[in-house]
Formats: sequence, C-alpha cells, structure tokens
Amino acid sequence: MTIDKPNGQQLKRLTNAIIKSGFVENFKELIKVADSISERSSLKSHDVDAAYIEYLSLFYEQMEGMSAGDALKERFANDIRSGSMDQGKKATSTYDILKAHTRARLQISNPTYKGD
Amino acid sequence: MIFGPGTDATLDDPLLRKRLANFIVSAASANGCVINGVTRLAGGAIQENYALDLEISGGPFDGHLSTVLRTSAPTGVADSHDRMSEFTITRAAFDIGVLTPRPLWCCEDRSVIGKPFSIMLRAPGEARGDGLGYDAAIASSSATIAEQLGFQLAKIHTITPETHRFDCLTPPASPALISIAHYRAQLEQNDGDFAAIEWGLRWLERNSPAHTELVLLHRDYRIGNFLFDKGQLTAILDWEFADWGDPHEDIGWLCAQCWRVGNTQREVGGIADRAPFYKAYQDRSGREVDPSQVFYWEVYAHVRWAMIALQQADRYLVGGELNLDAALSGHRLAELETEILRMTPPESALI
Repeated sequence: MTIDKPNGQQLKRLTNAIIKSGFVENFKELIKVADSISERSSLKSHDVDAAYIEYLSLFYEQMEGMSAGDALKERFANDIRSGSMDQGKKATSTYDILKAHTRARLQISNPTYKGD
Repeated sequence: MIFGPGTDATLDDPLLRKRLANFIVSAASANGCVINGVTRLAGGAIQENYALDLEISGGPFDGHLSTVLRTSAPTGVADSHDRMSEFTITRAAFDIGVLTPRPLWCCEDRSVIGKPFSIMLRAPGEARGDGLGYDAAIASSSATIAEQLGFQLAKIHTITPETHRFDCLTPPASPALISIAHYRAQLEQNDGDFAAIEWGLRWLERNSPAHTELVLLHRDYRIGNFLFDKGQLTAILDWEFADWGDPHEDIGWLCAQCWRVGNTQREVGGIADRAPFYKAYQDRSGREVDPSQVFYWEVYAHVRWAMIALQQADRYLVGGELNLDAALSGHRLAELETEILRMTPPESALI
C-alpha cells in the first residue's frame, strides 16, 4: 500500500456512507473524484509500492523482497532525516527515488496534475 | 459539509436559538434579540460559519445586524486555535485597522449551542477558495488587489511581541526549527514513512534562517480566506492559525505554488504578480522583502500544507467525521511532494 490516505477501500466506505446519508447532490463532484482515486488505487497501489521497495532494495543492495519492505522504507526515511543522504551520489539517488515514487503516486491521486 | 456526530444543523433547533438570542441580549447589552435567519456559509475547511441575521432592540447595537457565527467543526487539526484565542487575536488586528470583520462577542459556555463560538459582523464580498484568476473584476484590478494584500499584511505584521501579548501564543526562539521538530514528531505518530516530506524537512533544517524577526503572522493568508467585492479586497478572514513568526512566512504562504489555485503564472495567490505586492508591503512596513527567504518559506508552505493534509485525512480516518472534502486532502500529498522536490534538488541551498 502507498502512504496516501484514505486508501481506496477507505474512500469507497466514505463515499458509500455519504450516499447512504442522502447528501449526494451536494457532493456529486467530490464523490466522482473519490471514486476515481479509489479505482486507480485498487489497480495500481500494489505495483507502485512494489516498485518503491525495489528501488530501495537496489539502493541499499538488499535484495530481501517485499517482506523487508517496511523496514527499508523506514530506514530510508530515517537516513534522510539524519542527514546521511545530504550529499554526493547518495543525495542524487535519493532524490531520483523520491521523484519516481512521487510521480507514480500522483498517477493514483491526481494524474492530471502538472504544477508549473 | 457538516456530517459529524451530533452537530448537524444544530442552529435549526428553536430552543438552541432561544438560548443564543438570550446570550446576544446579554453580550450586546440589549433588551431583546430576534434571530431572523441562519444560513450555513460555504468554505471553512475546519470551522463552521453561519450567517446570522439579527434584530436587536435597545443598547448600542439597536437595529438590524448582519453577523457571522463561527464555531468548530466536529473534528479539527492540532494547530488550530480555540474560538476565544482566535477572537482575541482577531480583535487585536481589527483594533489596529486591519481589514477584518469586526469581532463582536465570544462565548465559551457550551450550554448555549453545545460548543464555544464567536460572532462577528458580516463583511461584504465573496470568498472564492477555488480561485479568482478567471474573475473579470479581479483580473482587471489584480495590481490593486496585490497592493491591498501587501498593505494589509504589513499592517498585521506591525503587531509584535513587544506591542502585544496573547496568552495563547509564545514567541519562539526559532520558528523554523521549532516547526521542523513539531512536524517530525507528528510524522512519528503517523502510520507510514513519509520520505519526501522528510527530504523537505531536512532541506528546511539545513537552510533555516539564522535570524528571525518576530511578528504576528496570519498563517493562512491566502485567497480562500479573503473576501472580494467588485474587484476590491473587503476582508481578511480565519485567524485560527495566527502565531508569532518570521514575516516572510506569510508572504511565502500566499505566493506558494500550492495556493495559486490553477493559475500558476500569477504568483501572488493565483491573482497577481509579485512586484506590486512586494512594493506595497515594503512601503508600508519599511521591511525589505528578501526573495531567498520568501523561497525558503514557500518550500515550508508545501511541507506545512502536506502536514495539514495528513491531519485533514485523519478527521475521517481517526475522528470519524464523514467529511469527503477533508478526506480527499490526504490525496494532495503527492502534488505537494512534487513541488517540494521540484524546489529542492540535491545539494540545493539558498543563495
């Protein structure tokens, strides 16, 4: 699962609850957005996460598969915080991984986003 | 937008309205008060706002009074002030002539409407959180609006820890470093590893300002919190995040890409260019706007919005509030991280 929340299932539960409450008219557009995210999430979320773990495995040269994924993600975040990734090749690789992972998550949350 | 447990449309309750009218009679030193109309206002991501039309008899407010009642949503975010604190800060700003609706009364007694609330005069104009870049009246007067925004912000920033004391605010030694520590602590409470936000926080730590002048910040100075009427700024709303801090923070928040609401070329909130805004601010404040510091606080703005987005999502996930708008904020994270990364390539530093 990606870090983006509510995840697809949680969003689906929320839109269902809103539909049940009878306020659908006021929230038609938002429900449409939520349903699209939910659908993309169920299709892509696993692959996005798997790709991220693969990047991290390569980066740390630890080919331990998905089971070690959470530990790798935590290590990566901690290393960034501690300043270990501030400089040189580590900084460049870290940045590239972050960009790739963020871009992939954007394909779920808002594929039309262009920024500047 | 209100679905929270036990709070939906409570102002429709006749008994509650009677208690509210009694409170107003007492607070306004009046003989009587009739509440003629209550309308839920759009906007207010965290607070609820109701237009309240009053007929007051006797006392200094005798006659018709158009007001807004402001109260908390069922769930909120951690950094938002309570109603009394916000009321006190707003009154200080109003008293020095900031263009904000006149705060009238604040009530912390929960027996009146079930939760604390404040009442202010209703200012003319319209708030448009979805952006004003396409509004013809705004487009034709964007430079004037930029000047008004710069002038008003400079006025807010004349409030300092030397001129005012607020019980709810403590002047920080380093606003940036304190925020960074605060956000890291928040991330630790969250389920997940937010590596891109950590990257942004690390950049902010490495580039934190050596010296900060402390002033009162609005801390949510953006298009969604302004009222406009016929192409003119008429009011600055929502002081719930106000705090002491670096004046560049408010400038960075308004100019940050994430608040340009789809009109990215207009760098002041999606409606104007920077030059007239900076000039008006500098002329009124006598303080030089440092573009590198504004850039720093624009990076900060994206990190801060990301942290708020996480909290907004938790209003549903943890707080149980069936608020789709808030829940979807959680999915702004990837956009915000995209901007953080765009602004902070490896080994980038402020000049």
